Amino acid sequence: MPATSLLESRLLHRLEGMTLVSRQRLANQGQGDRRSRLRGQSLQVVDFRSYAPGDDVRQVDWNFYGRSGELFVRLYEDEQVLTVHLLIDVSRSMDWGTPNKRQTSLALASALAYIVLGSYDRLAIGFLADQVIGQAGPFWGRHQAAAAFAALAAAPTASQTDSAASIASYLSRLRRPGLILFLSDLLSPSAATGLRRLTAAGHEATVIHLLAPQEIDPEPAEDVRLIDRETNQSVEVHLDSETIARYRQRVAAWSEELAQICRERNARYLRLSTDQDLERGMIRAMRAQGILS
Amino acid sequence: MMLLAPLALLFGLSIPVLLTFYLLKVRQSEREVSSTLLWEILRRDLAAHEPWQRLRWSVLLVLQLLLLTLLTLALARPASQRPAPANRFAALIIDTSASMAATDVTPRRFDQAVAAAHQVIAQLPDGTSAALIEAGSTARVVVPETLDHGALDQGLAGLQPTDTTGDSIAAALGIARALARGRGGATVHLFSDGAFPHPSEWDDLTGLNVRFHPVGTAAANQAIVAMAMRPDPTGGTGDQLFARIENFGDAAVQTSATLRADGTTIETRPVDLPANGTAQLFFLNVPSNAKVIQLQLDQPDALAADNTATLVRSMPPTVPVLMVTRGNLFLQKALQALPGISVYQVTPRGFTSIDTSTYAVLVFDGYTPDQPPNKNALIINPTDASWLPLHQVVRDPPITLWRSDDPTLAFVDLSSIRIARASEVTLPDWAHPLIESNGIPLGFIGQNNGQRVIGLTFDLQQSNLPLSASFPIFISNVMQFLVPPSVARQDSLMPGSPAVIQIRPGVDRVVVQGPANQHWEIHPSGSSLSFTQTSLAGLYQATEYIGSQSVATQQFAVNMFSPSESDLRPRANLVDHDSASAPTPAEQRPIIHEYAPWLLLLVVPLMLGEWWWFHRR
Repeated sequence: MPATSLLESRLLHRLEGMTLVSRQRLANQGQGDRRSRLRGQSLQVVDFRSYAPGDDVRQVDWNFYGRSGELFVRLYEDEQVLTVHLLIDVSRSMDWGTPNKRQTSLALASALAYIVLGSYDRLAIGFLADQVIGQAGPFWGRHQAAAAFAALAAAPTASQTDSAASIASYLSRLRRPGLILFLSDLLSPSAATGLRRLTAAGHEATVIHLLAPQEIDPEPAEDVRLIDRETNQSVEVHLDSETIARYRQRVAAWSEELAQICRERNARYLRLSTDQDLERGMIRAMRAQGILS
Repeated sequence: MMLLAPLALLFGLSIPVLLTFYLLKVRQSEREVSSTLLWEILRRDLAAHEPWQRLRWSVLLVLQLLLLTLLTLALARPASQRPAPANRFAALIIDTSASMAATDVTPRRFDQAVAAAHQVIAQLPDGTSAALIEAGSTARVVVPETLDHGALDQGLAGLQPTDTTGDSIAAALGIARALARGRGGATVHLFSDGAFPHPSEWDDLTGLNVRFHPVGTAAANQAIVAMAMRPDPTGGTGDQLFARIENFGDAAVQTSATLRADGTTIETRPVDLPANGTAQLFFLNVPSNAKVIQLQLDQPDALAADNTATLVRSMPPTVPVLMVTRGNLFLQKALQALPGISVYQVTPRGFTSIDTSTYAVLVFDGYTPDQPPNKNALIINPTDASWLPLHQVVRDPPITLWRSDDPTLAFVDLSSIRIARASEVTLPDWAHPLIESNGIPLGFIGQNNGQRVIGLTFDLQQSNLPLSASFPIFISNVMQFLVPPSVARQDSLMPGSPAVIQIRPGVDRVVVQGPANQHWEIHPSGSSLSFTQTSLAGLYQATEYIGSQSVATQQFAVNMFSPSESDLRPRANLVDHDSASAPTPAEQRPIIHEYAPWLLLLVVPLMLGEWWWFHRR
């Protein structure tokens, strides 16, 4: 898949100026545009303390000394580079639906990658299935957007999903906390466990729950044998209106259950449908949720 | 109620089979989904993996259950059974001969017979078939065997008495016997006055129940039983009329007879009739120019039809004959000498442009048309034609053979005839020699497409035939052969006899008026027609029309002259008798009425409804 086919140039132009909102100041390696909890050498004064021998005299606030006669040292916020981890579910269940969830998630990931690189944040991409089946990055700077797009376009495909195992595997490789964007349909028995692990190491997590319209509101039918795309297991159901109503209730409860897990762990949760427009639907919803600014 | 095929109820097993189909799940279609994770949770509640499902009532199921129920019932052939009536067939014979018009009972014997027949029909048990037979001038089946008793009543309503003789009673009994076909329970009903000799066929109906329904009384009647007219043999100016009056009664009767000529009363004469006796009447000086002569008994009696007799004087119509000749005085004189013949003449050259439709007979002399004549024709001294080729001239041919048995040569002696020259011709297939000379035809006769043709192969002026006494006889015979007799030459007809009416050329319509003012319009296709509606006695008049214009009128009379019909007293010894043979067991089979057709009739709309419901949007 050509890297440029995921996004239109007009959309890229509109994505410029958007940034991912990080609710925590995260320390990371390198200097960037993100504020860090570590006080350092930037121009942003975050606090004062009494002068102690050994402090840099240049940090003394002489104006305050002139007014009060006491020596205080300015404490500056050290500005660090934020690493954003785009974790994309590439299991077979994602390659389904109209519009296709995999295509939609990759397009959305491309848009987010462009925003991340445009904000001079570091970008890392992980492709998850029953384990981490691929990684790309880190990418830094807008000039690496094409490389990131190419990596997304060449996303691998796996058969089954194990969200908990794959997330745990990915996070174990990280030495520092970062901002994690997890794009998945969460159609995995271990999805709840995976979400809990997502925030365990102090990461700031955002979960984009992507479903096809056919998964939200199935079409009625007579007796039908539903075959799982990943496991080939089947379920026989009579898809009358009564069954569909109960299924909708089940989907709503399941989504709420996942959202509750995210809320409890201070993670953001957003459910999207693939029939939503990328810019007017998805990007706008993310801005409304404070994921993007 | 019974079932003729109870085993067919096994077809009802299809009903539980149908219900099983509805309880069984239909084959499931397969659908790939991203994950069955969420469906798995619902599985227990849905129970979709069970092979059976809850029976869901639907219109289709109800319609199909109804269909199968009706089909099962229809196959089992439900029926009801009724005992068969004792008499399964009845033949009703109505006498419509002349005596049935007698008014000795009110209003007529015939009407009483019809009323009795209606009563018998009304009393026929249901399921009894019957046929109606008329014994009139002939015996005929008016209503064939039917279970519809209303049709029998309608058939009776269409009957009328005639003036024919009752000779057909025997034939009617024969028809009834044939229709009964030996069925033991059959009954023959005869509605008649019995005014005919005892028919032997009555006694032959041994295997049937026979019922005689007599009508009328032993009424006395007087009738004209004969009448004839002839020219006065003494050479007087008038004609002579003879009539015989008969009294069919046990008491002497005094009456009178009135003679009319063309409607004008000529004479009224008293007549004394002894008991069971006759009287002869002679009328002299009947006007010879009167066309219709009528004699009437003045005293009314029980039967009116035999109180009047009518004669129509023979007045044959003038027959137009066209001679195609360059001039033949002998032939012309011989033709003109014949009564009722008008001779017209034209040369062969003028013949081609003449319309021959108005001529009854064509006479060709020294000329042969290109095609065989389309009229009755006499051909003398023919010229060469494709259908009658000439080969050579034969000189002095002796007459070696002539067919004296042929009507055209009756009373004709050709032994002394000499012929100077004759032409040898090849006769067409439809002609045969009449006169021969050593195998060479000198005269021939034949009929081609209904047209009579007779010919002589020699010139009359080249023989002594025109000078012989046989010549006018021969020409007269020839013209009688070429001009068939018409009705005008028949003085009187019996009721029911056909009247042959000679039609003039060009006539396209003939209207016959009967004695009771009936009218029949006939479109003739030939030169004559046979009129058969002569069942009533009296004067008939046939008027010929070309377009809307009347061109000729012919009259003919129909007279009863039937002592057997005029004698109204019952003579036949008709005794009722019952069938000696009982109905066979096969004939005693009960009547079974099946309901399966009605059930199947219900199946059709149900099937259509099921189809419509299944395909409706």
